[in-house]
Amino acid sequence: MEKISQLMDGEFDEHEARRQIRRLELDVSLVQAWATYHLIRDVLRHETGASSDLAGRLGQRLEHEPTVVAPHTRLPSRLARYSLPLAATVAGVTVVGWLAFTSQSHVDTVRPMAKNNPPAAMREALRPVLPVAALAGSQMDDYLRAHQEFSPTSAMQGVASYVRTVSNEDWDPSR
Amino acid sequence: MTRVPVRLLPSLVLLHLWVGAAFAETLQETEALVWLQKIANAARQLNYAGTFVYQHGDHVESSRITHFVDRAGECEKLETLDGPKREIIRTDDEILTLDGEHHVVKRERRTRRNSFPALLPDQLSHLTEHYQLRKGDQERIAGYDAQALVLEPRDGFRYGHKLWADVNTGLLLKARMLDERGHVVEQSVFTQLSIGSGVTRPSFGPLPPEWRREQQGPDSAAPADTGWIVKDQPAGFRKIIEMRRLKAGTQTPVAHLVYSDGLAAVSVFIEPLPTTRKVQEGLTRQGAVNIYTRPLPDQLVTVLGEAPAVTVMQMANSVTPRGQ
Repeated sequence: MEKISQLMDGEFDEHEARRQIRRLELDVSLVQAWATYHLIRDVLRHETGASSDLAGRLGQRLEHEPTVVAPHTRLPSRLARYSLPLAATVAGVTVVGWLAFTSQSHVDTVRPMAKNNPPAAMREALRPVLPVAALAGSQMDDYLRAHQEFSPTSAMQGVASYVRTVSNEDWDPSR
Repeated sequence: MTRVPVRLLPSLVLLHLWVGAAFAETLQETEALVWLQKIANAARQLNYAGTFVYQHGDHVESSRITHFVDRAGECEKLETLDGPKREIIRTDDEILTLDGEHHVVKRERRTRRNSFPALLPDQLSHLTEHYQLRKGDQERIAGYDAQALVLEPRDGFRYGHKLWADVNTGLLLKARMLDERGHVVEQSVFTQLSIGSGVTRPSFGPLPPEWRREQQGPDSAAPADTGWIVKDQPAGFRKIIEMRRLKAGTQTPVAHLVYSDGLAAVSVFIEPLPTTRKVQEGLTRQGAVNIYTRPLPDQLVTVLGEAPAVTVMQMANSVTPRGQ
């Protein structure tokens, strides 16, 4: 677990980091730890607020695994500071001020929608016209597969994302 | 519970409602992020087999997929059920593709399994800057209770996503990508699915001996400084990896850079300009993936990703050697 914490803090060189990531892949509990650490960090860093349930669960987990975050951070005490107000929110209105502050600042930083949209005329002009084969022929499915290895969207689709590389339409008939 | 003077109650209630509304959105986002992570983990960690329908434009086809994992590693298979038979089987160290139309079996060796975490936690934390996340309704899909998640893009440089995940396991049951006018760009949905016990390690059937065999690899991809940069990528797309690889079955070096906003990814490939064929500049697409090629004086730039054409083109047009 300590290794995971060090990995997160970027304390390893490239070789060791890769080794740890491979380890991470093989062990479900390490993956969960990895996810939890980031969740904790994000909650603390962005103060986006979290459900009282979430804070509660994190608190419980930290209690059971006191070494988890100990090596490099002061997470437990900070977490306690946050989870208390969160719990109080549910109970009543005692921390309305705190909430108003956090949610308002959050809304302010996130709200500006469509601040950098592409010009509509440009979007309209972008109609695909060429068959795939005209551009790159049979190598395109190699590129697609290479791409999918790193795409979060593909990661969520799992095996199903391969469908694009075996789809029977639009492919070079000479293959 | 704190005791509050009665005369203050109405204003406190109003304040509470106002704060509650703002807070609810944050809560929704946090919950949705946890769901995304759950979906990505489920795809890698569960055993499942089923039939799903893939649709883009007027094109609809069904495929059968299996994912199996045990101590020996992961093994996954996809086979098309409509039209010419195509199969792809992937294990930790190789990819086998079977092309029933042209009677070819291709074996690609890999030196490493995708050593990338399914979703980059660092990127996930930035997701809310570019998408509005919320939980949708619960629906029933392929016999499972599914929780819907909606990711609405905050600008025109990325597609919208609607995802339906199995309430119990987190497995993605249905996924839909939408363009800025709300039209479905691509959709896939399970029509039948088994999760867990009963799913066995997939394999190829016996391969007809007369089929042509092609051998490839090992896959040469290695992280490296390629000397290329994308100068003008849309907001939120950050480089997540940069590597050199050899073009499949050749000694041709290809630079590969991947940019992602946490959900969508765009790959940039740069290779020497082929001498054997004329290369056209142009845009095409495969499902939700837009593909744009652009010849430079002696290089060929290919940019592709599950993002709108404008994103892919803007990136392709700003590919430059570092230092220029």
